Amino acid sequence: MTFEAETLHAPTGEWCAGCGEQIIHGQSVIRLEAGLVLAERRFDALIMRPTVYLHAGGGYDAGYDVADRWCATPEGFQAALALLSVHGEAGPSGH
Amino acid sequence: MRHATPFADEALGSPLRLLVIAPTATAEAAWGAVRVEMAAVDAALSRHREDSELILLNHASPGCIPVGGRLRHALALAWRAYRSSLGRFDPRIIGALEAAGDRAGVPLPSSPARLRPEERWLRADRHRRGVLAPVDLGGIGKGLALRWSAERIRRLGVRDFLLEAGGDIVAAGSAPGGGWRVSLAGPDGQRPLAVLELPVASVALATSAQTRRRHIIDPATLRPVDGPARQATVAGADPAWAEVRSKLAILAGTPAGTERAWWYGADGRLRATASAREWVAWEALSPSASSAAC
Repeated sequence: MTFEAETLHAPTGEWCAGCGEQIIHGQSVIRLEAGLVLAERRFDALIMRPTVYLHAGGGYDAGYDVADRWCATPEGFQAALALLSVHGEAGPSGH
Repeated sequence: MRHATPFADEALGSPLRLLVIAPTATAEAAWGAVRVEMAAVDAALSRHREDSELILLNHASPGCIPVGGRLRHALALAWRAYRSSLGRFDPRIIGALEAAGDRAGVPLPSSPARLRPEERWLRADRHRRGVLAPVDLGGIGKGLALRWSAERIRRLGVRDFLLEAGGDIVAAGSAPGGGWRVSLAGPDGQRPLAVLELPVASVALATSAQTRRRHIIDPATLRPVDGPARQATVAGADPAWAEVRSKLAILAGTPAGTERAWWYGADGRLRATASAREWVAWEALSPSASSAAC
């Protein structure tokens, strides 16, 4: 499993597994995704696992006009990992 | 340690996934059987294909045409759901569904402006069927696809598998480390509402939601339902009936009469029947999500 930090540059509809709030434009997040690291560090995400995010501050240079939030706590990681530890996802498909 | 082999593709316009615990050759045979069944259901029951049997039946309305076994089964189930729900579940809402914006892109004959209650809209003789107005089988098609796919998997001697199609699930046997664990997504792609632990040998989960597409139509008004329940998940033995009951839960506003159900209301609270609550791993969610639980 790999953990990667990234900054989302647009409203995405993604949400934080730690606080349950939506991630807003410009906030930094830690992205958790289960997968295999292949040759040359190429990452191959596993199917049937969600991608999970945790708030990780207000941006790399802290210059964004967004709420600063840090959810990458042990409790946040525990909640995130619980969501990765599933076999499937039930929910509405819109059909 | 038992190993689960994963497979994934798309079917019926939605993601299709299978986890199966079996020797490699058997697992691949199970996946092949699922894909064959999904393709057959799509050809028979889809409202998104001009050449599906369902669309041909709708265009023949009110006349009768020969139809295959899958469509006969689906129509019979839709009829029983219509009768047992006293018309709350009504497949004749297809015109209103399209008018509300959930368009399949397939030309249809016009639907009646009002649905006559107690109408015997299904006509049948031995191998022919007819409908007095165009119909949409909606989730019944997906539920039956899951039912028949699961039967094919079991005929291969496989006991432990999890099959998922567009958010509906059939779980059988157990996972490598215990019970199958499933996250329950919220409406409109919101954060997961809960993590469910499925402790029984075989169970189906079906979810209906009044999402932005507003595709659940009240047969009494032919307008999108605007009740207090935004999303409902029902657990039962059969995926097709679980699908019917989840839709009825949205139409009724609460999932009364269902043995295991979770529903998410317009007030943002997640609720569960007493028997369903024990299946929910509330602690797996964030503090704010847990505080919303009943």
